[in-house]
Amino acid sequence: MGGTLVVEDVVKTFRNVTAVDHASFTVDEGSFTALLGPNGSGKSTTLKMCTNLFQPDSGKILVNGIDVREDTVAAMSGVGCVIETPEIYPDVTGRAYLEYLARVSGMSSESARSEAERVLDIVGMSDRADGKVKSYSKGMRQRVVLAQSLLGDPSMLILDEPTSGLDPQGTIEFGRILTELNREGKTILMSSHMLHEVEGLCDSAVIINHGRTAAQGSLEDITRRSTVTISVIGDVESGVISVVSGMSGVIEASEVSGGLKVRLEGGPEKQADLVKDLVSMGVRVYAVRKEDPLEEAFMDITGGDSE
Amino acid sequence: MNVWYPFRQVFVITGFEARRKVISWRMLFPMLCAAVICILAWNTGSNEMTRYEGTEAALILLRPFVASASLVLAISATVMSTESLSEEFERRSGYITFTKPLSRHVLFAGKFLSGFLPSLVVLVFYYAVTFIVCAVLAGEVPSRALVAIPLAVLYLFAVTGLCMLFSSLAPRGSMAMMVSFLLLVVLQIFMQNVGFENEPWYSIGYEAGILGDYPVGVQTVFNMGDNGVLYTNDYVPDIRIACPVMAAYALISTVIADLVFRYRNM
Repeated sequence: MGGTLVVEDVVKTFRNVTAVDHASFTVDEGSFTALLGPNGSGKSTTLKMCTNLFQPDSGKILVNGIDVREDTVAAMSGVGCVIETPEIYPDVTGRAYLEYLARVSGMSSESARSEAERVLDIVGMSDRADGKVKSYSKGMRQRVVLAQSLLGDPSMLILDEPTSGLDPQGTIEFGRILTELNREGKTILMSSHMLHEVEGLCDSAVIINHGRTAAQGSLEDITRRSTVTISVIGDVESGVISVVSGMSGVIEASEVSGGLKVRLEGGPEKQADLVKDLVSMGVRVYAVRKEDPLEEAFMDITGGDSE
Repeated sequence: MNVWYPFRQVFVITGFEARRKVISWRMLFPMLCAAVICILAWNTGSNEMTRYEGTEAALILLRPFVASASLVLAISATVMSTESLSEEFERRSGYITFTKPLSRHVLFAGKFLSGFLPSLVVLVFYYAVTFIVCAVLAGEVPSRALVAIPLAVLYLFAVTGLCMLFSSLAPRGSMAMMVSFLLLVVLQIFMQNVGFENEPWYSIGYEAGILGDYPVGVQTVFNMGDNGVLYTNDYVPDIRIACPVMAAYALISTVIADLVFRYRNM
């Protein structure tokens, strides 16, 4: 069964800078939620407050209904975390490190041994876990870091850019593991800069901007606007642009080289209706290219802000 | 979770961290220092004792050993404890450790013990060699000398607490180690040899002198001046003041270190 996370009106200030400014959002049980936002928007700070690395100045964070500040041990018992790019003690083996973390989390020696073996198997590190961590590549360390988040079979995973620094193969492998874990029922909250990665994995998103929640909901709700570039044979008649601009759901239409660019409310169905209407007007459509809807929505909501 | 759960966690942390320190050869340096100091003390003591007999000879032999104990313990505490807390921030391993179902107080306690216990092994080694040498060369170990051990344990608590405090505050382990080494080792040597007239009674370095004075019966000697007023050329720490001062250092530094570690952000 998956966990839940509720962030209620949370504020965090560092000296004179308000990093998180009354942010509120909810992560539902069993969802795979992306936490998005420009650089400096407060994503990492929010995740660090959710995982007991920072204390919020005000507000409440409930993990599985437990206030993180009031009962940290109980709250963090059901959570696995990968925050930033942590280092593992270099002078121990990966296996010894995982067994230690398992024992510190309350398992007996025997349970810790088998649990370490289980999570190493999930991340594909069983064969390499008996070498010292200082001999590991970056990808291997990242696998051990992911493995430690799976100790104790937590109901929720909170991940801050977990694929940072991995090669493309490692990123794909990581995504496969996370998808499988979500399919098993785990709730996952993941922050990432790679919007295309998020689109392939997540079913919902929270967008943070200037420390506040700018949008939250299913990916479908957030990406309700889309832009398509429609390539046509021949020139586009001047009347066509004005007709398209006046169509229901169309936000903006303009002529571009080789066709027209249309911004509209709605997803594939609306796009299909538009193409059908263009064809009925005699426009010879031969290709339709869709802009990245999540990227568009992100830029729309954040106004293209960055740090 | 029952009431013994945090103690179990402390035990796990202490075992893991202490094993890390032993594997990394960290214990080798203080043990080597202890061995070298023992050799030098044996050389000095055995030459001095030839002019005396019986218990007095034993006390003369013991004097350079017990006088150097505080130096050995300060070195050991510096090596074992100064990186314990700062490494979680410097190495970013805290991003994993602090997100576990583990209170920072419990983690602090485990790391404190993981530095204190190996230093205790160094202490036991040092005094075992001291008393064996005394028994072999002088034929006896004065019972008064055995008081050195609890005094040394108290001093070890104090310097370990101070090292943990430096570790909780310093951004880097190397900085904590440097500060600890300067204040607990270098300054102590300097004060003992050059600045002893200016050392305040409440300094840990001054009161650490009790480790070298009380077990061999050294006390402040007062003389009567021409004007009828008592005077002395050399104040020696009084055990009735030294013990509370060392205990205060141990308690205050440990509590502050724990609080700083509890609230320090990654």
